[in-house]
Amino acid sequence: MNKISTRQATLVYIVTGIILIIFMIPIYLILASSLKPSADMFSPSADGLFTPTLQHYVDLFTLRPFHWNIINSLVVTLGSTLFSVTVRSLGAFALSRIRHPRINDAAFWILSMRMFPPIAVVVPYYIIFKSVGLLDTPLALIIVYSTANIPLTVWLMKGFFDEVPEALEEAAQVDGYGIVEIFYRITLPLAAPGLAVCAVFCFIFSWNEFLFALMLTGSSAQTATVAVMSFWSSDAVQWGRIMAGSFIILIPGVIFVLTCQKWLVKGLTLGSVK
Amino acid sequence: MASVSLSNVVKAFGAFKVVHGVDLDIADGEFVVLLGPSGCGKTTTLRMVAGLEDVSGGEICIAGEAINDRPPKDRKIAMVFQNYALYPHMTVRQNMEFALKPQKLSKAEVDAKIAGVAGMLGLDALLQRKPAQLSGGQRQRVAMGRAMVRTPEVFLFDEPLSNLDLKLRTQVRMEIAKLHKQLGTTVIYVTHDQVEAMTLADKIVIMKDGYIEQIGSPEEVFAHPKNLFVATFIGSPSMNLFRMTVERSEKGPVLSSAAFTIAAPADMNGKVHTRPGGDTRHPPQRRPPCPGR
Ligand SMILES: Nc1ncnc2c1ncn2[C@@H]1O[C@H](COP(=O)(O)OP(=O)(O)OP(=O)(O)O)[C@@H](O)[C@H]1O
Ligand SMILES: [Mg+2]
Repeated sequence: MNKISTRQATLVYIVTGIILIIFMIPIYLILASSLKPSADMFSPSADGLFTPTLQHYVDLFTLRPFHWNIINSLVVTLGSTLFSVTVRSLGAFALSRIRHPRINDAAFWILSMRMFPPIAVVVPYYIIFKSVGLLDTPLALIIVYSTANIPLTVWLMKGFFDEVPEALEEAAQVDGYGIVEIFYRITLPLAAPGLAVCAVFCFIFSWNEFLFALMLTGSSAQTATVAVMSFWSSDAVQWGRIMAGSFIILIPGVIFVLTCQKWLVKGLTLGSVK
Repeated sequence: MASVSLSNVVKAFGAFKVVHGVDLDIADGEFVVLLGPSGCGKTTTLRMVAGLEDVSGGEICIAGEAINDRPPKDRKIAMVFQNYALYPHMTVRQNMEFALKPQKLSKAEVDAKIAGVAGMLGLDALLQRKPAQLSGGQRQRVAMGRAMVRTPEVFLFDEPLSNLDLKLRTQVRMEIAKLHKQLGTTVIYVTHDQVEAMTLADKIVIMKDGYIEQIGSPEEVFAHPKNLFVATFIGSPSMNLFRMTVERSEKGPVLSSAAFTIAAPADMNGKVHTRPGGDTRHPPQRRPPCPGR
């Protein structure tokens, strides 16, 4: 790699700093507002200072069942992420390895599912789930979320599988292994970064999803995002609770991404083939 | 240990034929070297025996059984790939252990085998490294080791020594010869190196453009090449060629050129044809299918 001069480095830091500030401002506002007493919310004192309070957080868990909303969100998100990653890695592996003149058409067909807006299927989903009695259950959302991102993640994973040299699978075949073992012991470990990226995508999508969660859940399977919006009612907007809820919602995503980060390493297949 | 036989084996990639009806019989325990210029179909032939490439026509038998439709894992082979194909997420030791696992040996047996092969190939100091931390030659030795720890019916080697320096190459070549003598396993060995071919082979198969040009012992192909291609391909420096005319003389037929004249070899009597271009390729012949079918 080329050496970076001090001036270039300074420039990089300044630009990064500015971008960081732009991204952090909303988060700061959320955190600050969630700690403000309701009275100070829209009439800040002249110096902008206020006495921080955890009242909104306490209210969330005592006056509202916010912990249940979070549990719902976690169940739905982890369930759909696990399901998606398992099933899609198999699908992507097939797309990456099968040699058939029409295989690219199949891949394109999968991609084409991306071409209509999600809202188009909300009503059909509603009718289907109502008729099979799955309305307002986490399972309904798991099913929806597990299918929603198929195009994006299958294509993503396919790219990572394409990078794993087939020679390694051939070597394992000769060494006496069947296709299933080869997939789990050779190919998948080497496509782990792809798996991590895929998991992050699925997690963030499911965790933040609002439209389907709003339409397909009532009170018992309500997720955290929908719950936060319910503090915005016709009689009053409880800004403190909205902000407190929003801040809590931010946390699991950050933890998950940081956990997955250690899998996001380059060059796993280095040294395998000439 | 097993015999291997290929009868009229054809390989085509789409409309492009790269192996044209190869017939080859390899006896149990024989060491056969495939020799030929780059792109003549050596790797392709080896991959068909391994089951990594579908056979477009003909039949391959191992131990008398037709194995065309048998997956690689059920062919009891071990292979060294031309491009090594080491498992990059495993250490050298794990690479070998992985290759041994399907044989279900005890831990002590596994350790003993790895220690033996590592010593033979000079890998002792490298066992804990991953492939990315090795040089090209070291990787190649690991690839060799991974195949040699197994006890297959047939060893398939695809240019296993091409990246080693002369000294190491000689040394590993000796080890291969020793191992073959010890185990008596059938070996099919691809190489560009004629010294390797001459010293290791029981039988050399010379290929060109997907055809077998000659099959014979090292002495045979060297001293009695069947055609011009083999004559010029084998030997370094290569054989001198002269364009001669067959003439009658009072002592019988002679070969003569502007510079000199020699008596025609006795075995040429009555067999001389003129073939412009010197191509004396023999047409491929069909053989009966494998025994045991
Ligand atoms: N997958 C493929 N698709 C199309 N053609 C191929 C394929 N694999 C090999 N070939 C062709 O088949 C011919 C034989 O290739 P092969 O790899 O067997 O040669 P080789 O004798 O091993 O050469 P080298 O000594 O350079 O390794 C070559 O002309 C090559 O271009
Ligand atoms: Mg080759």
